[in-house]
Amino acid sequence: MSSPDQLNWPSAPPVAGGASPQPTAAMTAPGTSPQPFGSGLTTPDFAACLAMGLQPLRLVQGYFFGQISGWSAYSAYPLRQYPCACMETGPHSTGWLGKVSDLDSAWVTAHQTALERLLQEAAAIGAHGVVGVRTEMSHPTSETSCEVHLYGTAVALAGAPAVERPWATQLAGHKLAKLVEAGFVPGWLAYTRCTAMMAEGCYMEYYGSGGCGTGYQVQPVRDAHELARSEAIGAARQVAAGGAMYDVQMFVHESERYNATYITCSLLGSVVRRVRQAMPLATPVATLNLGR
Amino acid sequence: MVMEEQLKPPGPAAAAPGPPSSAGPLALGGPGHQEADLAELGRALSSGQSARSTGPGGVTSDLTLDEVLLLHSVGLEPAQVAFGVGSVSVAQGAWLWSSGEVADARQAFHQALDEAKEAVRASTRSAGGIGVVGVEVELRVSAHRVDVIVTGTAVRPFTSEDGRRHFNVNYRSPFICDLSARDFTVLTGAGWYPLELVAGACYVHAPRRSVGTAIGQAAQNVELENYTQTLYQAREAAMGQLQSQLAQAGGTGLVDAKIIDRPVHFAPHVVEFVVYGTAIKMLSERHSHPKIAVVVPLDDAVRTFEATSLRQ
Repeated sequence: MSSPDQLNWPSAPPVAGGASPQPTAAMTAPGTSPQPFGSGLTTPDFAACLAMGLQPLRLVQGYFFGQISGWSAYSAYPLRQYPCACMETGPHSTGWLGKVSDLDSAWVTAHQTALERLLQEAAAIGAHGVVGVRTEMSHPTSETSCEVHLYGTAVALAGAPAVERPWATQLAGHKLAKLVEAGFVPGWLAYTRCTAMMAEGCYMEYYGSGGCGTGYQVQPVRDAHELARSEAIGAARQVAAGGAMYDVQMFVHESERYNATYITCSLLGSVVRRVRQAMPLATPVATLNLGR
Repeated sequence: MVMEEQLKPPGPAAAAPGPPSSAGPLALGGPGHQEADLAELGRALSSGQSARSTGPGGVTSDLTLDEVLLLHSVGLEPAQVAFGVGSVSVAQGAWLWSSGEVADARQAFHQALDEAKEAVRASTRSAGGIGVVGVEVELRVSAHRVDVIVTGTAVRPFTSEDGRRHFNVNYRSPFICDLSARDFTVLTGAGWYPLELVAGACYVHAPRRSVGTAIGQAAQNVELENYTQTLYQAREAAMGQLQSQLAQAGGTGLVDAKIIDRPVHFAPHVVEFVVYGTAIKMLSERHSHPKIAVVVPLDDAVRTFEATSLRQ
């Protein structure tokens, strides 16, 4: 892999009516590129990156668009059954709780694929990392489609040896500096999720309809919420084993389909690793902002 | 619930965090702060291969990086996202228009909250945590059940490589608080410590007006005193429960109280009044006032060109 001084910079766009402008002294100063670069950084983040010796290279992205089969979206693997408790005559149905594993694995794979593509694009231009990564996930057409779009700014560390796999983080600028100052380095972005499905059955008709009175634990509802959250958090702990997953955004979505409740819990965050022991930081200074 | 005697004041080693030793790492802000050498930090990024393990399972935290650093300054670090769920049934007919309090709903709320808090504590203990900060309480009331979901980040004392623990307040049972990491840092810096998430809830039927009163007021702008009185009644009852839980937890005060005050969506004749907050207790001899530096920002918001204005 090329050293930062020999990076394959993107060529400058032609300038109408004349030759490309020559680099000025400021542009060729250490920490700046002799060629135009692309970045999604704000100006303060850009300045902080330069001060850290991080050379912005290019805006890189990873994209994935896929289809989720109807089977994956709705089929659940049963984990637990709730036998009838209504004590009434007539037809009875068994309530049960399950995981919609195929749907979850489809989304996790989509995110991993997009992340890999982002990192490959960064590695191809000699980047050591990608900062300020943003994640967009959506169902662009219907619930059976998934779209994951990651984009961020590839950066190279001046004088650092080449790496096979760049790191990636949602942080940039001074926030990234603070992370490193506290003893951590960025690893990668992680996305985990779990969808629990609860089919109500007679159990819920009894316990969930107030027929039993007040004060009874509605176990299927509690189990479904716990399953979705504990599996998603547990997966995140596995992904971040040996490190930490910070800045986690936790989303919980609940919907009703075909007399069943679907609860999805997803976690998206930056995996970081500790590289040096950091003592507790000094007491923060309380400030009063007169600007507002 | 954390009882008063469970909380032990900090020992000698738990003095307010001071400036780091000269051999220590760089510090962010405060006394002893050294201006970070950003270039050095950049070089540290290339040393990622020598990362050490932080434990058998990964740490998860929904705190922002700023919040993590603030907690670090008082000797705590995040352990894992902790949550608890309580779902308790409410008897049929409890919401039918009657008079007075819907006692079943109040009972279900407290039972569901207690179950959720106990699950959060169990999860915190298993992660080696001493408490939970930044707790969010999700409350759902439906005709036949009350669901309470409590989510926050379990925190544990930061222990340095020499085995020194940097947060020495001993809780026998994990505390739960709805304070942000910033508020937690400010509070502990002033000598106060959180004990427990305490709550009060009351659901009260608004009494019907008589037919004659309703007809007589039909064309008037008048106060509906039945609703006003109902709200007062609900508030007084809920605050009374809150006060009782506060005393039971051994707290000397309550901060960050949040109030939910609304008609029940499926039974609008019932007023719901829920209040919850963090019970706190002062462990220092006296309250210490934080010294506040006045900052005049020079980075005013930049006026940006808006393309939409062209279409006007």
